Parts: sequence; structure tokens; C-alpha cells
Amino acid sequence: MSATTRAGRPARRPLRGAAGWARGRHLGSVAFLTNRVTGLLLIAYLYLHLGVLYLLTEGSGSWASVLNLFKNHWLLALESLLILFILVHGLNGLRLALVGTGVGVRHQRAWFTAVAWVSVSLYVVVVLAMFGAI
Amino acid sequence: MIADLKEVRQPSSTQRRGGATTWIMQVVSGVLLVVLLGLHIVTQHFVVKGGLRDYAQVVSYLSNPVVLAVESLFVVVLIWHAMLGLRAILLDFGFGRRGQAWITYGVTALGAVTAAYSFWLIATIAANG
Repeated sequence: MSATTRAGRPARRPLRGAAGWARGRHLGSVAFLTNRVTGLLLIAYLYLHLGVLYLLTEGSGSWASVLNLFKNHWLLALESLLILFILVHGLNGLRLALVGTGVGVRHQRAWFTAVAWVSVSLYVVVVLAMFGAI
Repeated sequence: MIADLKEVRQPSSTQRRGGATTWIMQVVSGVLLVVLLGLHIVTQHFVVKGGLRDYAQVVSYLSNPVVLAVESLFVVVLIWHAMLGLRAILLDFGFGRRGQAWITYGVTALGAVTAAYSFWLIATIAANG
């Protein structure tokens, strides 16, 4: 006999994998999903970065072409998104670690807001620095 | 709010399937990364005029033994953290015991290959100095 809820409806089967991460709209779920997605993006970037750094082994000419490429403002804008992902993943990760160890559990909503504000503020500073405004 | 607390207090998938030790290692490597990655980004991109070091600057920078040691530590901690995270994500897909073992072997192998390549990269660049 299949499991039912108290209301008599058939119980939903637990979702697996990525579908399971998006289940629920609680703050904890949103923070968890955010860290999973930014983590995967950062792993993808790690391999892209290691691939680009290979050009350093081929001498100064190859590296000069990379430096020229990064003068493109669109590429710089994309690179700035990486900084945003690092900030969000890092600060939200610290928050999850603190809350996971029982520190500030009751204030986790405030922590989350603080993480969002600090991430965006630092991101703005980094973008201004990247584009030479400061 | 109660739902939020419940969500947080539940052990993560890593804790459920890989033990609390894995979770603690993920947290410790994450905290170390805040320092090491911050240092890497600032020294590689924000103290150099123009935002990126040219070839001679990169080679000269990596010729410093302290920098070499810090960058090597950074590589180890970063790969460690990334592989533990990747393993936790893959374990979320609910594989059986054998599948979980294969994931652990696969992620360990990927991490070892990535670390070997990274060290080769660092050594090759530093040797040009």
C-alpha cells in the first residue's frame, strides 16, 4: 500500500538530485541551492582558468594575446560575474557553516540579508576597480 | 520561520552520506579558501597596473619561494574543496552504495589529475624565471 498524507492524498515521492535542491521555498533551501549552483559554476571556471594558464608555458607571445583579449570590456564584465559568484559562494558558505554548527541559527534570515548586502557592495567596489573608476 | 530552522538543522547530504568529517573538512577548506583565494585575487589582479600581470611579472612573482609555497597550498585547498563539493552534489542524485563508491573514486582521480596538472603548470612557469 502506498504512503498517504494526513489529508489522504498520496505522498509525493522525494525528489532526487538537482530537482531536490529546488524543493521548498524556505530560506535554507534558497541558500543551499545558491551555493550548489555557484559552486558548479566555479568548478567549471576553475578548468577554464587552468586551460588559459597553459598559455603561460608557451612563452610571452601567447600570454600577450591573453592580455589583449582581456582588454575587451565585455570579457571584463563576464569576469566580474565570476567575482560575484565567488563572493556569494564564499560568504553564503561561511553563513551556512556558522548556522550548521549552531551559531546564530535564530538570526539566519538577518545573516542572509547581510551576506547579500556585503556581496553586492564588494562586487560594486570590485567592478569599479576593474574598470578603472577607482 | 520554524520551517527555516528545520531546514538548517537537518544535516546536509554530505553529512548523511559521507559523515560529519567530510562536512568539517569542507568548512575548514572553505575558511582557508576565503584567505588564500582573496590573497590570490588581490596579488594577481589588484596590485598590478592594468589588472593582469604580464609574462615577465608572472614568472618573477612565482620565482619567490614564499609565493610558490602559498600558491601551491592554494591549489591543494582549492582542489580539495572543489572535489568534496562535486562529490556532495553527485551523491545528492541518490546512487546506491556501489555508485557512491565509484563517485568517490572518480572524484579522487579527477582531483589528483587536476592537482598534478596544476603543479606541473606552476613548476614550468617558475622554472622560466
